[in-house]
Amino acid sequence: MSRALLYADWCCVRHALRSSAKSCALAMVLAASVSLLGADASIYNIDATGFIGALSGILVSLGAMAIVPRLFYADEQGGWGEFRLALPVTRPQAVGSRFALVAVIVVVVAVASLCLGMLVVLATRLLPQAFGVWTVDGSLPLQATLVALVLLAMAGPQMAVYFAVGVERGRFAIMIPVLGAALAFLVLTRIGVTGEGGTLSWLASVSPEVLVVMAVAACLVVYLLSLMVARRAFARREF
Amino acid sequence: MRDDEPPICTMGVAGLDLALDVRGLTKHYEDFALHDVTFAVPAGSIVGLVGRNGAGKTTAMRCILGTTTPDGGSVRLFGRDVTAMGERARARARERVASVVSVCPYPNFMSIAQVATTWWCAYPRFDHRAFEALLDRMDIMHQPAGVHRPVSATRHVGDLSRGQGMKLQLAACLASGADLLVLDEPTAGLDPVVRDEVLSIVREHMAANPECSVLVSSHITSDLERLADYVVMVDGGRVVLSAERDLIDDVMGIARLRAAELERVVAEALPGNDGMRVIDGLGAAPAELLVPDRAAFVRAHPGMVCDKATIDDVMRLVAKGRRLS
Repeated sequence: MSRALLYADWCCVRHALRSSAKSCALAMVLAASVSLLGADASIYNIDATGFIGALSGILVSLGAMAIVPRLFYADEQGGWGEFRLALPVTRPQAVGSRFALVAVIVVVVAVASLCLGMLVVLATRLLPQAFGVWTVDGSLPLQATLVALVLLAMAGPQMAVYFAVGVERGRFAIMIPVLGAALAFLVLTRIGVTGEGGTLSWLASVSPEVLVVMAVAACLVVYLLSLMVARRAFARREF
Repeated sequence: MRDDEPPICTMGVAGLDLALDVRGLTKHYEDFALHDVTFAVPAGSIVGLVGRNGAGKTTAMRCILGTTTPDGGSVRLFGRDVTAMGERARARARERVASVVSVCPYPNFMSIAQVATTWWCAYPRFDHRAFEALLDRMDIMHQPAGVHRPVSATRHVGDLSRGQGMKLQLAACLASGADLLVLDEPTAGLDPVVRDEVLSIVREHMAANPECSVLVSSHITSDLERLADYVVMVDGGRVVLSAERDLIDDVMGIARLRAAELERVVAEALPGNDGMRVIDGLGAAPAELLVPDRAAFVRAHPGMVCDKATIDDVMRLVAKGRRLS
């Protein structure tokens, strides 16, 4: 990894977060409202797990979708992507630094959004007559972690495409997280995880703990594979 | 100049310490190629790389800096062949090389302080005080309102004018402590006042750091006349001339001859005719003859006027002229 490139990318991330703060806040409020109101339209004595989960998912996905393309668009402004390589850095360092930064940011945003959600839950305790007692399921950290890892796994291939061909030519890559989510939804609902004779029906016999480990491992493998593909592709890229 | 003609090489670097030694550099693209580019930058000198737009100057510099991988040839930095090294070793070798490009490459959202920090992270010898002193020295003006306002560290790259952006690049480059500066068209698109400032800063830096070497490319040959110790001319992806600037200034000449005079020079077939290049005159316009040795030409042809050559003249005649014999 390169300190210089990590720092330069961090400057871009800061700028992206600042400039998208308002839209992120609006999206959070909307998602939180939808999640809270749900089917009951009641906010008294609710299980706030879904609310915090939605908050975390929205923030992490917005963060990844806002930040990843911006990092690569900055490269294509004025020849910055090429000029960076004239500094005393290597191409693998350029790739590794960016993958590392995106991973750290996803984790930090996931943790921060969890903390924010918990703060909101604690704040409701100040007005018990209005909110009652909001509870949170013990599996919340695990859910939030899985969501963050899935989004990281989607950002990995997106970044690999951008490193290979640049963000202008690789504009289609922004659809990878959307297509990935859509495909996952399709698989789970159409083919079925627990349905008799379904392709993934064997998963019903696997314990939840093992499922979680498999999911975490799969996400990490996808991210690391994307890193390897990105390194090889970027090594051959001509500016 | 035809592809089969040998380049005009009078730049003797044998026995000199070389900051940069490029040999047989080759790079092929679909519509352009660098062919066997060979030149050197002696330590402590300024080499001007001149040529028309699209001649291959920037491509050569990209190969030197490692942002493009050459198809053949070698690049030696301070005696070490970086093209034969692994990436990490090449990156370490580049700690002694800093570059400037014609358009400020930093993203618009970066502040001047962030640019400095990025360079500090990249170059172990980067000197923040020297960087700030250079920005002060360059007296970056707020344009176009005409109000003198020094640039603060929180100012963003996107707020800088083209000239200010170039000065920022130059300040970072000079403060990096690099021993070889690679400047790609540093004066392109700048007004004459800013161009003069940029060239003065480079000259001052060289005077204060005699061990520093510079490779500067430009198609504005008058800039190089004030700066370069050596001139390397690239045309159509090839080196067509490499010479000491003093040779061009003090030895070479341009003779503007009527048709009859040109015929007499050709007819006399003196040994010096071999190195001459000519652009024939159109209609009543005189022919222009590039003469390798002005003094010898005047002695051989006393009635003919032969002026001092400029880099511009040499460039024109080498690129577009034909050999006299």
